Amino acid sequence: MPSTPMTADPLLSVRDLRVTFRLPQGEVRAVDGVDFDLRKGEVLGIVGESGSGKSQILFALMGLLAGNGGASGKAMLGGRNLLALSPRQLDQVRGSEMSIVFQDPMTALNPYMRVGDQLAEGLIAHHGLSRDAAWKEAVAMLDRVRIPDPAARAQAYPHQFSGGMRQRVMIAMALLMKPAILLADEPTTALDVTIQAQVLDLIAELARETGTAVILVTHDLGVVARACDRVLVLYGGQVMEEAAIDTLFDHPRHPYTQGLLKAMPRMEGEESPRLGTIPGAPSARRGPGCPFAPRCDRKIVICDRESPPLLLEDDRRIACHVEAADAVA
Amino acid sequence: MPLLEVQALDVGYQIPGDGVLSAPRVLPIVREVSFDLEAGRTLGIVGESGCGKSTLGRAILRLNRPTGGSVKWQGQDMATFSADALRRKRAELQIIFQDPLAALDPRMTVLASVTRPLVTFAPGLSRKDREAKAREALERVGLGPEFASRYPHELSGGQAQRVGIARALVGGPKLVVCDEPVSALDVSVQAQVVNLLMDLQDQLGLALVFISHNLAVVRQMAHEVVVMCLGRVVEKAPRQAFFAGPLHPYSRALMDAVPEPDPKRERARRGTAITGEIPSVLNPPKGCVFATRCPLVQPRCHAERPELRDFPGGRQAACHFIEGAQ
Repeated sequence: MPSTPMTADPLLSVRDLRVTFRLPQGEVRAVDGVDFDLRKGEVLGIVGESGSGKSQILFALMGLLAGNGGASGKAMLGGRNLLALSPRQLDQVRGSEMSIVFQDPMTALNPYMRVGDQLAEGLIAHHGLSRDAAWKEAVAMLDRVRIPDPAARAQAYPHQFSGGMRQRVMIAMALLMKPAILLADEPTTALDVTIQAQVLDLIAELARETGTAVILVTHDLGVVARACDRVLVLYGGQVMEEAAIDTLFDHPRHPYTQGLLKAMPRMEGEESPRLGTIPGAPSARRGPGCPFAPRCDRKIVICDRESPPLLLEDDRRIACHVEAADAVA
Repeated sequence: MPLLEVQALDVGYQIPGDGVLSAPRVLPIVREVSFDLEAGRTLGIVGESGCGKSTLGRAILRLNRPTGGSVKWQGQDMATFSADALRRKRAELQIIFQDPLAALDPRMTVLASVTRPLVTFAPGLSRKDREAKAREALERVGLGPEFASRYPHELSGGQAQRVGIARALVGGPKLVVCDEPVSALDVSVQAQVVNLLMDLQDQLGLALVFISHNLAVVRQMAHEVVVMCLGRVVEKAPRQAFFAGPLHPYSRALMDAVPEPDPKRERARRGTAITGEIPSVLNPPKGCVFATRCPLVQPRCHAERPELRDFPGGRQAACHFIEGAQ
């Protein structure tokens, strides 16, 4: 499998990541040979629709796959393959090097515990702090994620927080461990737009200031444009296109990326009588060939038969037979 | 005469009183909302969680009971309809919901779900005629005959929403309330359903009340836009004028917060998000509903609630500090 055009010394290097689930009717491949690198301090977006495998990539990295799931390939962080660690080793990585923020901040918090205790818990367990010292750091971090009156709020329970505040508590909890990598799975999807903007700006700002690298999984290309530096476009468990965001949005090359952008209603620019569409719906069916072929309006015969070759350029890669043929011609 | 006239509509929900022995009180959710809607037009209603947009949508169909004001359907006050008359009237006023799978009975086939409304609306029709009409409605929303015998679990989200639309259409409605109809769908499927609703409106002359938190979808669909905040209308304007430049600071803030797939625009906007939380519905501010978060707030805004005032071009806004009111 050809590698990606990337930096010499990435923080995290993922190669040929595959995630499969065993179901009564057979095996389902959710992630199908994904490669990417993550650099220090960058915000990498992973964008895709239902069933693209975007969340399963994060779960595989964190060792959080469901019981019937398995991951293969390599995910190298500091000389270790995350996919080959024992549960105990993984616990250490999860505590100190990687943290995750989920979509629904209410179900991720313990309703019976004061927010300050939930924040302090990790510091006590992983960093060996006293309760007082941990509580103090927790309050400082609440302030950092702009919870007003943090000392008093640390005494409160999750139900006394709004949705946006809960998500900021989750981010505070993740960052308290000073992780090298923050994984965020649709962190703003459950929030109102004004609150979403606050939380996205906060994530981008913290990445810049602390050097924490972020992988932000989302279905929304607008969110990618707001918060990310680089983006992987995923379809059917495979990377269709990867590029720096300016490159991708200015000149999308993969038919799927192009289709997604045309399907998005816009706030600005000319009005159009109808939105662009991609026929059909995202589907979990897998066969040989390009996963997007059944919906692609530029499909050629080979697309149904063979996996698309990877076209590497300076700052992007594209997995598409049609683009590859054009590049040769 | 407009198809629908909503006048100073209030809707509230009863909640327990403050003390154990105190009487229950009514929590106002929608307050003094007024608008008209003509056939073939779409009114977009936007706002954040808790602004009352869904409660308003339901009140239009009288799925909940207003606590004040009136809803007139073709000139008649809907409060005067008997329960029976109302049920038949709903052939003309329909609704589609956000979660298309939750809105379908898992034990009914697609054909049965789409046929069912006709049992109420057209009791004189034979079963065969009802099913023929249902198949026609399914075809209209782009579902071929092979879908008739399927069950909801065999449908994708987009297909299930098409069934929901077919079920709303089968009785021949004049108005459809669309409550976040595309919010649960994937982007590529969302575009298909938005286009379908616009096509159906063109073909059938439907009036649509399109409720959404997604301003970009509203820009695509609506002829007129109403912005709600904590139960009140803060701005009302024709679409083009609204998106070219909203009058109310809340509308501006909402618009600026929508992330566009345009990195240059978004970089310029980083750090500009308004701060603060949406105030609780249980304890709304005394003055302007946006005062706690407004970047232009003045002492007067906390003390005195701004009335909705008229501005040129058929626009309305409720803010003390917009100049040029008529």
